[in-house]
Amino acid sequence: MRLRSLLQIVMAVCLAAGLGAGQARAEITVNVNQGVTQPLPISIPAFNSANAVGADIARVISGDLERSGLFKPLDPNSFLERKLDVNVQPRFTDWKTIGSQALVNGQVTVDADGRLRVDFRLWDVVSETQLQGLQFTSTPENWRRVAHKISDAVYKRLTGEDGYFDTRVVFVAESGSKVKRIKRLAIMDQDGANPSFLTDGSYQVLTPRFSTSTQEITYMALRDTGASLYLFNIETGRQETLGKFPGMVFAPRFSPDGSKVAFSVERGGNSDVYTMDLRSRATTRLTTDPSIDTSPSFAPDGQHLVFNSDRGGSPQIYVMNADGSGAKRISFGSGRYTTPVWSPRGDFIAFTKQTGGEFHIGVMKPDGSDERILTSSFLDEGPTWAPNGRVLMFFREQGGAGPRLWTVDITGRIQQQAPYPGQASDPAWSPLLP
Amino acid sequence: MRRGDRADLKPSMLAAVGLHLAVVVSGLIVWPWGKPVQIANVTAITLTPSKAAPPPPALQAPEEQHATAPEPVPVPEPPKPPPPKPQPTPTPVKPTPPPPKIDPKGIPKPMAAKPKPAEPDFLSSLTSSLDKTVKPQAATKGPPRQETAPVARTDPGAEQATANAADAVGARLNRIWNKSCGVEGFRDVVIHVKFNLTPEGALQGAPQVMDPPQSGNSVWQAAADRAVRAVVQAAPFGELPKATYGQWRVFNAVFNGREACQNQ
Repeated sequence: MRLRSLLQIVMAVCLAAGLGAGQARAEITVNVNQGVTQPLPISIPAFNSANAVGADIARVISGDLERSGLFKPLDPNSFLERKLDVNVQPRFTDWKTIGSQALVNGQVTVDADGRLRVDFRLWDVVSETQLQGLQFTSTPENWRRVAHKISDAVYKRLTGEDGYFDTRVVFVAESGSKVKRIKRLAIMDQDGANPSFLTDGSYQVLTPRFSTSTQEITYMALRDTGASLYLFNIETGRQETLGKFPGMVFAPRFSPDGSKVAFSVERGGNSDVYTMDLRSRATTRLTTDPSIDTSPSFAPDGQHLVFNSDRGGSPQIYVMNADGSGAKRISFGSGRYTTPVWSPRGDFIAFTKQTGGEFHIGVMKPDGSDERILTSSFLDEGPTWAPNGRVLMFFREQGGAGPRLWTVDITGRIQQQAPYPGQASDPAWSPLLP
Repeated sequence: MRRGDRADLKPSMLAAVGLHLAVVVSGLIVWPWGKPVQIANVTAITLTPSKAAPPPPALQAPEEQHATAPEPVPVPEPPKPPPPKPQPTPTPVKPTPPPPKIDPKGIPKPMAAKPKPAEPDFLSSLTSSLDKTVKPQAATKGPPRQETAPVARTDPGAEQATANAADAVGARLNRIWNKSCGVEGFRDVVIHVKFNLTPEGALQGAPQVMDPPQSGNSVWQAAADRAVRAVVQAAPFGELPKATYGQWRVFNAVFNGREACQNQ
């Protein structure tokens, strides 16, 4: 009997080898080079918890992923499997039936020391596999940040790139009449939650910019006595001026490592780009052209800057070395190009373009190629990059309703109003929170 | 202890020993319904509470107020606005909690929802499967017909059958594959997925990603998952003619990010 079994195994191996040879000859190569771009259907049921926080966390995650435009959270009323346990494999058939391709489930518990513990798992419903299982602990009041961190984890696992949900946005909150405009520095979570004012409105605030590496802001304050630049540490609340300059200073922006600030100084109708070393407070003049050179923005490697200049007759975009040498024009389209901002991942430069009676937000490669217009309206201006370099926030003014914050992704397909319903301009996106 | 007492204890001792043995043995057995699901990654992140003082009430906006205001602004107007100051004063808002800490404790592994039958002995299972596969071909039906044999032919008709199958499968995959051109690095990714089909066009086994996973390359991993998902969703390929099964049994689908994102 045993011998017969062994004989059969030998025959099977021979047969398999024969089939394998046949299969190798018969293997058909199929080139899949088109594809579609659709939001991924995902289910995010309320996390199990003793109170409402489980549902709140699921709602925040759902909102984050939906706003990215890459996911389509399904209606919880359509869910067939109701009593999910984070420690038990879900019934994949139930989730496939409703068209879901991914599932995020979790539970919220409170530890003996009062800390919130959130476990979650991400499942690939189609392949019936677990893609991720993570646990976060925090104080209960930090539940929103935990939700954003889960959104970031899910986003990264399903797209491959870093998320941008555990971030904040500073902006200029506007109110009052046009003749007596109040412009206050304000901050909110990227999803519009936790809005706060950072200044009291007794002076005008313009062009706030986040550091790309720390929770620090630089901005321009405009008073009756003149303009000045400030540094503002959000974590400590410490604020300091960058000092006095011979002329009007504006358009500050941090270097990638946060050690310098680049800005413009205007004197006698001529604006030039400067940098200041924040430790030594030494300033360096980078441009000397008798024209308006402004809006400097560092490349993520810190070796180059992009800026805006009308030295060629109209405002265009130029790139130069960090020491001011080698300035080279990169925009050649019709219209006026302003507010260039280098992407944190380095592949694009975003800008505002004015042409054909409209304003546009666009992007181009750092060498000026591949220019793409992403938005158009009566007034679109002031793009800022999300830290993953995929989404831009800007402000739009149309129909006399005052400026509003909007977002657009780098493909231009996903364009929507940001979740801040008040009047606001000049947004600046923070890096991911630590 | 007296001899009689010992005799009295014997049944209870035996029972106790038996129960202990049962517990120990049950711990050593991998119960099929307790098969753990592999956790890909377990990390705990601790967000420690802020030690800084809360922001002044006038500068802190309650979320509810923001959400319900008809013309929402970040905060309500302060009842007593602070006197104007020549310099902006530090106005701390919710400080960022210190960096998260990694906690080695992981979440418990999830269990399979339903019991699965125990895996049979390897040798006997191989033998029994042989009984099913070898007999029909060798003993009862004789040599397989060329069209349905799992070995490819080389004549022009066979080439046409292969080309038709490639077109049909390619068209379906192209309609289903959800690419992500906006992701940095996706355009540089080419994923090869190999899969086998049954004569009915259903998947035979799980699709295999041929390129070895590049450790730490999250873009590649997400792209590979999307490619496999496309193959699983596209099956079954019922339109493939059973008569020419030998010509389209094994596929190598090449998901080409560069070509797919060329005009985007």
